Amino acid sequence: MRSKVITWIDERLEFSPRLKYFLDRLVPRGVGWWYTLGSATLFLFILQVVTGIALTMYYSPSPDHAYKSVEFITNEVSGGRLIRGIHHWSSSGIVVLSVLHGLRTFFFGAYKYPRELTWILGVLLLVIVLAFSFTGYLLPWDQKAYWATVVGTSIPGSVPYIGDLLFKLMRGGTEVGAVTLVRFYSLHVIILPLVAAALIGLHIYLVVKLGISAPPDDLKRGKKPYG
Amino acid sequence: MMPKQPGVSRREFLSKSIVAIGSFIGASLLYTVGRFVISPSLKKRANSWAEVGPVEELKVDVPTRVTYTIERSDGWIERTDIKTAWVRRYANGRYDVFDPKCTHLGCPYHWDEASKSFLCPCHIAGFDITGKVIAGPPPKPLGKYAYKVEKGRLYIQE
Repeated sequence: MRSKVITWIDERLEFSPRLKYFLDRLVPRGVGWWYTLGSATLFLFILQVVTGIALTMYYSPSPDHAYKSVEFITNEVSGGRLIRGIHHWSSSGIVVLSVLHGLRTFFFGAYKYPRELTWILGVLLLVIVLAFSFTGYLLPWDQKAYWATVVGTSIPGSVPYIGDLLFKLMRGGTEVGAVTLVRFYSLHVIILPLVAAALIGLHIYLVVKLGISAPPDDLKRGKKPYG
Repeated sequence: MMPKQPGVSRREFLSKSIVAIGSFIGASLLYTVGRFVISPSLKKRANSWAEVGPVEELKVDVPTRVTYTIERSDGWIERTDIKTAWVRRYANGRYDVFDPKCTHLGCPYHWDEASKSFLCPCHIAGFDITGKVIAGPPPKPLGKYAYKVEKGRLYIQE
């Protein structure tokens, strides 16, 4: 079944035992649909990466061209409306699924020892997801995007002492304009994806290393989680 | 451990299903994104007619450099380009409208009245008044544009 080339490469990389360790790990009894929310979120993240990279092929992050280039993507490029639609709806989906994933972890008590660090990384990832949503919202540069950012950047302005600094840092000045658009773009397509990828990597490493926690009911009844 | 049963095991069925569904999703995504990325490269640009000006201003049998403007869309940008062409007017009302780029490597050439030929300075190329190569490396004669005359004004199409 496996070609000679793959066997040759695998003999040197020793990738297949690692893949087996990653995929064929023991999961406790009674694990069901509730446990798929993390994988579903990861799937949407990958979908966002693919469609997002495709969108950067045509998007122009400048106030003179942003709206027109989005219009171009939607109306001129084949499948543009679909790719934009997937990116748009998956972004909402990722927020919903991450929150549900967090609630599942909370109510099942799965954040407890030894999985506290997984939980902390997860909370950071939720913040990253919201930062993605906030920065991505500005990019179409229409009225809704503009005013949402005017309001959204004003809110941190009310923080005591450092509010004014935060406000100006987010806008790159006092007005929402060219500088704001480009820094939001940079955050959205370079900085946040790098940070997210690193945190997701660690999060999944911990999930695999520590294993999945058994459903709380089974633990209460004194059932053995494995075997 | 379950005894080995004939046929496809549950585990085998599930792992094959996962690969099949995953491949289907991956292929649909690859197709959509591929089409998206390639799309504008294969789009044909419709060339419109550009007005050059009144034909009386062109001398008969003396090629003249004309400039004209065309409106074109460059992705999401609408731009106005200023272009040039060489026009030869025949006495009988015909015209030759030459593409202003040398057919060798695309340098702009000029009409030399003394030698009655088009000269390209880049690699010492020459074309006669009909656009035929008479000197230098160009592989083919000068390109020609389509033209039409309406109400005494010349229009060309690249």
